[in-house]
This record gives sequence, C-alpha cells and structure tokens, in this order.
Amino acid sequence: MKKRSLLSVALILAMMFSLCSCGTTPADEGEAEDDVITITFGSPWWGESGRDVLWQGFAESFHEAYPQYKLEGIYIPYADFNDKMKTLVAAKEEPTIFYLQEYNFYQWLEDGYLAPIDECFDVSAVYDDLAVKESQDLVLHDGQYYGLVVETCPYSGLIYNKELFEANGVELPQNAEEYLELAKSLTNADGSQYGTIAANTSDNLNYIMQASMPYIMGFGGRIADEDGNFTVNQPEFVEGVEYYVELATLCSPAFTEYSTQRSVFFEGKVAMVSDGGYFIDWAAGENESLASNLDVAVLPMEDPATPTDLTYFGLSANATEEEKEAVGAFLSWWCTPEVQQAWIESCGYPVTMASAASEEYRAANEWYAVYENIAAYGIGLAVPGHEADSISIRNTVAEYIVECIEKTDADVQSIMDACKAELDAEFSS
Amino acid sequence: MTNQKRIKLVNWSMLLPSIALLFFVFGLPLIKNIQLSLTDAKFIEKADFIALENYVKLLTREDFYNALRVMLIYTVCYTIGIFVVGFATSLLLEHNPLRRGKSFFRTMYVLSYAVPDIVTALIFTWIFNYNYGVVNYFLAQIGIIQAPINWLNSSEQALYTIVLIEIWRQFPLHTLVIYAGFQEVPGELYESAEIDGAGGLRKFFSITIPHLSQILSTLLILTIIWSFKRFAMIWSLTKGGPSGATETVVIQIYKNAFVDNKMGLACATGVVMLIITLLIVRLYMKVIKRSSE
Repeated sequence: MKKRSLLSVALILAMMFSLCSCGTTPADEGEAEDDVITITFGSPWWGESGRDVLWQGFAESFHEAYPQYKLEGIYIPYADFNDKMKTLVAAKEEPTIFYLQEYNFYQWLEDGYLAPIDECFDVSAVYDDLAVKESQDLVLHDGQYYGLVVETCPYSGLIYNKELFEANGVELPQNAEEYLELAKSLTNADGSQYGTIAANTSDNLNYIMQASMPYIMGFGGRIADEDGNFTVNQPEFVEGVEYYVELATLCSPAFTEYSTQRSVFFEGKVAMVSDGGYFIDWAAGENESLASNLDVAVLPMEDPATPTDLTYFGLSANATEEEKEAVGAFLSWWCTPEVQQAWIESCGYPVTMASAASEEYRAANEWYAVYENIAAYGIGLAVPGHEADSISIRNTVAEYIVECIEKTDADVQSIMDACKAELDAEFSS
Repeated sequence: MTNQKRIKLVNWSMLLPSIALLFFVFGLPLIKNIQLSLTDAKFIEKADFIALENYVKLLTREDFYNALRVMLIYTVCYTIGIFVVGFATSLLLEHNPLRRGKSFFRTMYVLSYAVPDIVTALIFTWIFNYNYGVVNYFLAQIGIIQAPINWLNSSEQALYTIVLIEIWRQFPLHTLVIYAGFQEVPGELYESAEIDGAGGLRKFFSITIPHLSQILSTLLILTIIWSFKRFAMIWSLTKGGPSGATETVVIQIYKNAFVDNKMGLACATGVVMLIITLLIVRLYMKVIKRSSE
C-alpha cells in the first residue's frame, strides 16, 4: 500500500516536471518579454465584424516589421466607449493609444487624458500627404497636434439596394420630398420590406444623432451657431426633425433597436440608408450577395453639409518614454501605403493618407468618389462654442428627438423649444 | 485596572478589526463621496470647492424630481407586484394541486433568479420587441390588439414593462421566503379553525398573515430598499429613456457621473439618495426592534 502511494506521488511529480519542460522556462519568457515593448490600443474596431480580423492582422504585421514592439488590442464597444474610457483613465489603466473622436477631443484635452502626439511622431513630415488636412488641423492646440487623423467619415452617403430599386421600378430621388415619398412607397405594412432604416429608440443615443443629423443638417439645421447660441428650435432644425420622425416611424422598422434594423438591412429588406462608406464593407461581411447590389449616391438634401465623424489616434497622457517610442514606430508604420490601402478597403471614405485611395481601389469602388466629394462639406460633431460639453449636449438633443419620435402626434416645435430651454439652462454661461 | 475595565478593553480590541474594516469599506468612501459632492469634480482633474452649489442645483432641477417620481412609481408597483406574485406562487407550492413534484416546482421557480440581469434584459428586449416580439405576436393572434404595443420605447408603457420584467426576475426570493414562513405556522391552528367552520380566506387572513407578519414586514422593507438600488436591468433595457420615463435616481447618478462627467453632482445625488435610504433603514430598524420585542 505504502509502495503504491509512493509510486503515485512519484508519477505525479514526473508528470508535472515533464509538463514544465514542454514550455519555455520563466527565465526564457522574462528575457523575451524584456526585449519587447508592448503598447495597447483601445478601440471598438477590435470587436467589429470584419475589422477585428483586420486589426489582428495589423498587430501581427506591425510586430513583424518592428520585432522590438508589440501592439495589443483592447476592445471597447462603441456604445460604451466614452463611459469605459472615463473609468479606465480614472483607474490609470487607459490604453497607450486610443480611438479619439473629434467631439471627445475638447473634453478629454480639458480633462488631461491626452499627450501631444508630436512627442512621438512628426506630423509635419506627413502633413502634405494627408487625405483631409482640415481633419488633422482640428486637433491642433497651442501649436501641438493631439492626435493623428485615422478617418474622415461623412454620413450623408445614400447607400441604396439596386436590386430592390429595379424590382420596384423606381429611380434615385432628386430631393428631400422625393426621398421621403420613395421611402414610404417602398415600405410594406407587413414588414417584408422597408424604405429605409432610422434609429428610433433611446437605447443608444449616439445612433439617434448619427442617423438623424444628415437629414436635419440637410434642411440647414445646426445644434448651435458659430457664436455658440443653441439653434435647435429654429425652423430649419425643427423641419429636419419632423422629416426624420416620418422616416423613423413610417419608413423603417418602428421602435426597433438600430442594431436590429441594420440586420434587417443586411437581409436585403431595406431599400436605402444614409451612412458612411464602412457600411458597404460591413454589408459584404454579413451578406456578400447584398453587397454586390449596393451603390452610393449623395443624399438629396438642399444643404450639402454632412455630419462627419473624425477619428484620431490619441496618445495617453500617462504614456512612458519607451511607450512613446513604440507609438512613434507604430504611427510611421501606419502611414505606409500597404497599411493605408488595407485600411481604406474597410472604410470606404478618406483615411489618413491620400495615397490610400489608389487607382485600383478607385476603379474597383467607384462609389468612393461620392464620399470623397461630400467630405468637402463635412462638419465635425463637436458643438461650436461648447466643444468640451459636446457629448452631453448631443445626448440631450438626442433625448428630445426620441421624444418627438415616440410622441408621433406631439408638436415638434414645442418639444424642441423645451430642448433649447434645457440646453440654455445647462450649458449657456 | 479593574477586571471589568479589562474585559471592556478586550471586547473593544476584538471589535477593532471589524470596525476598521467597516471604516475602510464604508466609512472612507462615504466621507470621500460627501467631500466630492461639495466640489465641481469631474474625473481626474483637480476639483474646486463649491460648497452646497451641487445640492442647490440638484434640488432646483426638474429632472431630479422626475427621477424621484419614477423611482417612487417603480418602487410601489414593483413591491405590490412582487408580493402578489410571491404569495400566489408560494401558496401554489404549499397547496400543490398536483400533490407531487414539489421539489421540481421549487427548482423551476428559482430558475429566473439564476439568470443574470443582462441576459434577462436581452431576452426581454426581444420578447417585447415592437415588430418582432413574441408578446405582440400572440396578443395580435388572439385578437386582443389590432396594432403592436410599444412596450419598451413608449414613455407611457416602458416603466411598467420594466417592473413586469423585474418581478419575473426577482419573485423567487419572495416565493421561497414566504413559503418558508408557511412552514412555521402550526398545523393545529388550521385544524382548530376548520373545526370552528373557518373557510380558506378566513384561515389565510386570521392565521397565516398574522404568523407571517414579522417575516413580511422585514421582507417589505428590504424590497423597498432593493428597488431603490436597481440599476442593471433598467440600464440594459432603456438607459433611462424614452424621455426620462424610466430614469430612476440611481440611473441619474450614473448618467451624471459617467455620461455627463459631473462627478460632484452625481455624488450630491448619491448623498440625497443615502438620506432617503437611511430613513427607510430607520423604519426597518424599528420594525426589527418591534419584532424582537
């Protein structure tokens, strides 16, 4: 009995030692890790369908090009990005570089999240070759750049399903009225087909603003004028909201989360949507046959202004010198033509470098020219005169737009008057 | 040192670790919270002392009173609902009409309690979906509704829909506590009442309820306190919308802190919420004291 026990213990020990010898020893690991500087990148892209694979590939390619550096992804969902970043920064656990949107820039700069990107990367060396220089200039503060532009995404591209258009014998609309009438006529009461999709629930206020502002701006509506006076109850804004309410309640899956509405689009049941070029690559990932039937035109609104999401690489204020070196190497690598061409395939609108849109890319994606052209009318999402409060202001406006959608028979003017009163009380000094 | 003093000293020294732990876990955060509520704190930048400005701002804001109103409606509906369901299900368990499978039903009842809030929220988002939800589908099939009901995105229905979901999620605890209470009632009392000709209702109100009063009053106070604190389900389902229709005080605290970056205001709201909860706890202590007497 005693012998058997001893034998068992010996066998277990032998197995443990043999297992240990299979892997690298801690000493080896330590040596390997000591040589590599890891930087983290916090972004929603690490978890987005299609882009997740692309970014894993980017991380591997970067490590191959610069074996002494490693890029590690931190997935932070888009819907919770701002909230999560706040808690990460407060806990001093923020990523080395992160997805920085223009409308967050002012608040995050004020709150001390950001270090100048100039500290690790010479922006002036690539400035002349940037796709949209105006986008880069928006993060210039006190003579220093606080980010490198990653993408300039205008939302007023009218993505339409050619197959549904042909099946219904309809042509592209030429103005806002025709667009609304067409969207109504292409919507079947039984839910088998919709004219468009339009965010209409309060679960994600970002989507409300993303989906509604192309139309509201198309009527000339702005959240605030250049002097920072709130203009959400001006006739142009109200007309835009009324228009959007019709789209959101009569022409799209009513009171359905926007993510679900997008799934309906990917099933090929929706004729049109106003969105950025990334949507086409996304559609290709979800439904390849649908993607081949999609084309893009300019949203036929009177005012060509388009809400534009400007995204940058932001650098953490707590990054160490070593990490800054690695970030510098990453950004240099990022600007190379191969990487840029891979990135624009996933975006479909201007990215960092102008060289990304090669002749081959343009020939294969003729619709890219639409996004390139409307980018010239791009207006950032920050609220003029209230840049640091942009997120809160946009959320407040979104809540009132949801109220207009929910109370379909309510007077939009009076709801937007209340919105203006709240914005004045909260944000006007 | 007298013997009595020495015993006192030993007692206190034994209590000290617990007191220190309580101070670090509850006392310090509370002090920090009160301190922050008197500043214009955001997240990481330096905060300035602004005295009672946050409290004045809070008490003059319409949305704070709206949040209090929503919290009150939520608490009342939830408490009544969960007690009704808890009683009904525990009575079913006690007087199982099938006369068998008691343990099976007991397990079935607890299932919803085992499902995490987020999973419950996701399931019910689909169940109550306006276009594709199974509830609207069945109601339309049996002819009760002509047009779909906007369960979760209407300011009229959303709060009550959430209450319904919360009751489904939480009722097993009430069922089990009330059911356990039933076991404590002596069977002879029912037998005597039957001999005296008492019916079911009479027995329920004259024997069962008085015997359960201590358990029920404790459960009632705890339910009210818990309902004040419910966050995950509301946030997952509606994020306080539409138009603030489901925005309770807890949701408002989160929004102030993490969405609007107003940590000072969020802490002030937290302090007011704490005072309200303390009043309830005071009531709870009174109930406990009366029960022990």
